[in-house]
Amino acid sequence: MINSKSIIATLFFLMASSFSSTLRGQALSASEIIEKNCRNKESQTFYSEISMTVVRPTWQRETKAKMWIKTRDYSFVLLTAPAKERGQSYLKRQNNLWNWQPSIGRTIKLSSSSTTGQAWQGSDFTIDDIVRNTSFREQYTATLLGQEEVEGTKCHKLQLVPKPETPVVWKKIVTWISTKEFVDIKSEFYGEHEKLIRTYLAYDIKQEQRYFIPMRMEIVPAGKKGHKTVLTVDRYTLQESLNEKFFSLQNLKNIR
Amino acid sequence: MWNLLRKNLWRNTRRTCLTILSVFFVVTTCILTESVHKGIWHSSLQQLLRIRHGHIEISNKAYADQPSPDHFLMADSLMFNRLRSIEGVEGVFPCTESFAMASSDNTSKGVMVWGIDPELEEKRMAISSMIVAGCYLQSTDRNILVGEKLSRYLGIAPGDSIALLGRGYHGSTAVGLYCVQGIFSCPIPEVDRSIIYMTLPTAQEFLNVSAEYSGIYLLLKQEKSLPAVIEKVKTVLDCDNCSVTDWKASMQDLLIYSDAAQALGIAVTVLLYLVAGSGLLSTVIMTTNERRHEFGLMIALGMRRSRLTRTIIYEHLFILAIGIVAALGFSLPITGYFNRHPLQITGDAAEVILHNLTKPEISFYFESDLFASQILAIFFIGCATLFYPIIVIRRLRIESALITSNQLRV
Repeated sequence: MINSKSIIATLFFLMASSFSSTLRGQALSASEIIEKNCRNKESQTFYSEISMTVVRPTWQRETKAKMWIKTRDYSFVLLTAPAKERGQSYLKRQNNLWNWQPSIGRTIKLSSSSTTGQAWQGSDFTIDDIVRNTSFREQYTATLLGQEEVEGTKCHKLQLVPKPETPVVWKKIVTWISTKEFVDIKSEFYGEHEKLIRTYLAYDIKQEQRYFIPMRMEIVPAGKKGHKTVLTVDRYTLQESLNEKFFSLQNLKNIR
Repeated sequence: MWNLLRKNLWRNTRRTCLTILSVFFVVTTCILTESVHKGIWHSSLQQLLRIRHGHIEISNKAYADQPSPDHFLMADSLMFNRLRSIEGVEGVFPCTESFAMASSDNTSKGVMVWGIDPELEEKRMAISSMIVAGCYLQSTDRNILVGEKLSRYLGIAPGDSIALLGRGYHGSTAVGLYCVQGIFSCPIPEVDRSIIYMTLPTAQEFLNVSAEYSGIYLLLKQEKSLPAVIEKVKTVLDCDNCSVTDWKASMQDLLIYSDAAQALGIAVTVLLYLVAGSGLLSTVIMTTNERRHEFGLMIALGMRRSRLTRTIIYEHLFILAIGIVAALGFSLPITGYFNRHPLQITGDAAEVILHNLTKPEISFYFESDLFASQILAIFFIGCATLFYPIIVIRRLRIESALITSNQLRV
């Protein structure tokens, strides 16, 4: 009797604890979810090679680039293809952004106001997206909208509204962050009057040590039939050793 | 009848002159006020259209939604010649317009890069007269012209070079290093602050496009030929992916503003007519009452009331005609002169105008429609005032008219 009682008690305890953990899982606050998402996204230091295809109704164009990225603060982007654009590079140090144009031998400082929303290499990605200037944690206030499934993945659905006086282009972002890896696998970006401007989608989540990285990303602009940009990560290696000094203006011209 | 009219008018020249003068002042005031009002609007609009996109804009249909070099419009010299030969077209101005970032040593700013034909453009805006440093472009130059405020912001002078970075054809990078040839000062601050001019071939090379244009602008000799020219342009072009729009479609905001301004103008005009009409009416009342005794006497002597009324109407119309002709003779040279030699405004008012629209000057409107409408309006008001003497004559009681007049005389 005692045995069976204890078994029942154990079972009950197990059920209760699993239930409570589920409860706890659901009870994650919006800021906790964003925190986990940003810890994954913004603390990676890595080298990667990407190819980006701009798809338009009548033409396609592929751009290849190498990227060195240290957290959200430092990044280097070097174009390797097409031939005409090869050697162009972008450097970001905190809030400063420079562009090296080998064809004219000039480093151009990009003023932040004119860069935030500009298309990168004629794609649907903005320069911000590429040099990782956007931060859900620092620039936006999140509210949890509930849970939803996106293409079979269970996600937290959150709404992000820019904090006052934050110089961002979007008036609102609705994002779906996976409950398991805390990767934002879908985001909708809204402009003035709550008008959907574009949708971001992430696929093929790969685990590299403690980080989860989408290996393919897409931006689909709203209301433009046949328009999209696909960015695939061809190579990805974590490089925790990358030093801040690497991200210098001298290197901007010399990086290969 | 004619004799009676003449005698009546000359019998009391003071009274006749007073009425003529009253008509004269009313017509002159109305014409001058309307001429200034319409003139300001008309001239600033034409000036604005010259500087902006002309009266008619031809572009690729897709360009309006997505203004990028991918949606430029192909055009050849044959097409330009055909457009130029359309009657009423003053000039055809092809251009490329694109957004870019201009960067000097350590500052950069978003700018509009305009590819223009320097010789043609000279007819449109006379940029060469706006040059404050350096010199104007030649069609073979690879250099650029920069607005004065922009040059100050970027800290550049003629001879310096700046980098331009933008988006070219099919998402390619448009990049180039250009030498500043001249700096121009434009009355429109927006242009002065953010526009860079270069020759068309240079701009097309910068954007990696061939003989393609963001838009072809047409300036008309006269605004009123707009609908006819648009129809002709459409038949001449005969292309499916071209959009032909007039300035009214592309400058909706301005039109709303224009409507508001016109409504205000109409309100002022109505007020003016009211004042003018009551002035005229009071003169007519005065002169009619002066003649009550005369009217009574005429009717007593056997003149029919209808005949008397007709005489009065003729007199009145004659006076109106003289007043109007005199007013025309006076205001035509004035409006004509100020139409050709605009009044220059100086001081604070000029600053305000510079910030809002165009040149700080007032040119008078000088078109037949203005004179016709004003004369017609005053004529109607004049005719309306005729009701008073007509009613007076119809209701005149002979005895009382004679007695009252006698009593008055005593």
